[in-house]
Amino acid sequence: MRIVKIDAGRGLKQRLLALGLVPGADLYLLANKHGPVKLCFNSSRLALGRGVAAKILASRAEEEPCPEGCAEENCPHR
Amino acid sequence: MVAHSPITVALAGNPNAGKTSLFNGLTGGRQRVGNWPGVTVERKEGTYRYGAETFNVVDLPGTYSLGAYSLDEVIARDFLLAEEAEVVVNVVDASNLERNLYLTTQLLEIGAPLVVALNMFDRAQRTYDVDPAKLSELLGVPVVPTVGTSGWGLENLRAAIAAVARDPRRARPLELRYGSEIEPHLAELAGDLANLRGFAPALRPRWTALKLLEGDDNVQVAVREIPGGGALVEEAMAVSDHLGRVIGEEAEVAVADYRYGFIRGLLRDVLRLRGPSPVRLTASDRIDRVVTHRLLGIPLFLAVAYGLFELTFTVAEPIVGFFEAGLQALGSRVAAGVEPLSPLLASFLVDGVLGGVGSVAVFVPNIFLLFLVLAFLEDSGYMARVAYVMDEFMHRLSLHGRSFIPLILGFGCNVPAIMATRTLDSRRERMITLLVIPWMSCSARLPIYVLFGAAFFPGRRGLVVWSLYLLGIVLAVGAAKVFSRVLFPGESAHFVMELPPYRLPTLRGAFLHAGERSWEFLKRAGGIILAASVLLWGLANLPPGVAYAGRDSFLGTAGAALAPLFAPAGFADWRPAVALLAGIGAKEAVVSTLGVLYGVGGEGLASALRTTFSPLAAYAYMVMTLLYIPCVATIAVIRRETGSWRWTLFAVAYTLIVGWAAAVLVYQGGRLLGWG
Repeated sequence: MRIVKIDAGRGLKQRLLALGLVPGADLYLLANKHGPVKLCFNSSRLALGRGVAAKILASRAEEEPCPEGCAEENCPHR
Repeated sequence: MVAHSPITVALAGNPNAGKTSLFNGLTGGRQRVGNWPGVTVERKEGTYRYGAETFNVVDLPGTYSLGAYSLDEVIARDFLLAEEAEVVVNVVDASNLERNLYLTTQLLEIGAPLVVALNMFDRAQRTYDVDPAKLSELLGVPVVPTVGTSGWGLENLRAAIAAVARDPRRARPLELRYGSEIEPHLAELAGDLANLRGFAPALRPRWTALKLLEGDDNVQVAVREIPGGGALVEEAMAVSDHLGRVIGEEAEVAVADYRYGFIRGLLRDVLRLRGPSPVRLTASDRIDRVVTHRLLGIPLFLAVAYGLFELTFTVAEPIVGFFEAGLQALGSRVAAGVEPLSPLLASFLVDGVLGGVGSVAVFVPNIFLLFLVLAFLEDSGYMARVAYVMDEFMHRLSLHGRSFIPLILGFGCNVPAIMATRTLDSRRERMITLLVIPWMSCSARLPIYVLFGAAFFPGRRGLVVWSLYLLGIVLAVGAAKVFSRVLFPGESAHFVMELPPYRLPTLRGAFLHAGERSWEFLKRAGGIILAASVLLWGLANLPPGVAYAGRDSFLGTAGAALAPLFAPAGFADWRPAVALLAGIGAKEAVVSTLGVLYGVGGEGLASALRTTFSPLAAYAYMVMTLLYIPCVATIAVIRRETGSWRWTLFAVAYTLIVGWAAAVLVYQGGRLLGWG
């Protein structure tokens, strides 16, 4: 998925930006069913509370790119 | 030789960049822990010598940026702005440069005399070919590859630090440019700020202007305080809005974009992929598939927590026993020597002083072992997974996933449990967790349940004890909910966390950490515990000539005065009241004091208690001992960790009130149901 927009308050937005979650960045959801959302992103793994994740607007592309640093086996739907 | 004042070196870096191991490597064991002024965030300092000079290393809190998101960031930022550090070492995880260099760009902007430590260099080299010399050339500051866990590269780092300290021009950081839209506004705003009378040059006009464009709250407040600053803040906000419309994204996002653009540009020259695949963390991902599994995650964690618990308290037991035996032997020697001269003095030395030393010492093995294991779990990366796994559940209790560990530890001993709340990064979560920990029934309360259970509920002892543990948990959860609504209203902290790759912790790091914690406990809480023990001894043995804690002692008098208050809970006798008072010193003292006051121990005590208590009153008494006032050691660490007597008094008061009310409720409710 590609981040389109971050709709959070200043403080949280700064934190997400500092982690590299900027509009245009590709990420891959590793877990999204319950509990915090887990992403594979920019060679690292991030856990975001569902409240936080809801503030990140991302679009799903036809071809899901497997972001750099995410193992192929993590991106089975590619 | 000329005496130099030490050179201050600050360590800055992302969490999980290996800052702690680098700090340990640089300073060896020579470190001390304090607090940042006014706050309870830990401040670690250590020294080392290099050449003829002494270097004082200050470990800044690990942060991802220098914004105002958390207290940690503000502390790091203020320290750098105050120019207290002659050299700033930016510890960077070389295997995750893109994100780590984001902080570096901010350090460059703040104008810090920087040395970059490319840490975990070995790990990075497995995937990439990293060119430190090129990075140094592009950033304009020295770059030294290091491996904190093995100490590789530290000598070069020390040399680079010394060189920058001698000649700050060696670190000539470049200035980031923000493109033709933002740059003119930035320059104008910086010019206006510089012309403002009363603008402290330490605030750095360009940096401040950038922060105003990014909408940084703390900087806005600081600038508004300068006469004429308010207008500039308004102007900056207008410019920021304008930029947002022109560029099509908010100014702060655009600024971050430029920083990442700059970093990616750098990395094209600095990194070369070794293999065909840039995949990292595959092993970690595989472990995570089990550890953070939807169904396996929580049971696995409970097993780890149980192991932690068992290990800490069972391994500590013989060591504690050894301490106690030693103190007892010393006590009988002192008694033999002093008793002929003055029995009162002998009692003071043995029961008061040595008893007090003993009640401090028994905590040390627990604290040491507990933090040893915790450091292992933390450094291995497992703790981050615990927070992840427990977050959903803890959220319902208005707490964070991370709060779970300290709460569980409370069943062993409240003292290290409260110290462990330090791992919580939000003050709100930390305060709530810390305030409810005293209701996690610690191991010192178990003897009370065992005694009363055997005396009054033979055959149903297990159920009774279990019900008390459960009652503590239920009330703690309820209190957490109430506190989060009433005392700390507002949204709970955002859960944003990195799950770092698993790594093997170093023994040395874990031992240093555990030693530090134990020493800190002795230093900060030891005095209070000792003083309280001596005070309790005085109350129990004075005026001279009374029997220990007898009816005529100060303690006995106080107990007799308080006893009527407990009539509604079914026990109006003065002796249980005195035992409760003694229990404030240490909960296990409830049993021993009852033994002394009823003049019998063991089996005899059980039947003696049956003369004073009905079974229902006995249960009410156990509820009281579970809930009322934490022991002095716990009170001392609450004081220490909150940094406030008000919160400490609050903890004492609410546990006492709720404890009494619950005991009364149990007794009166039970009577209504006909159990009396």
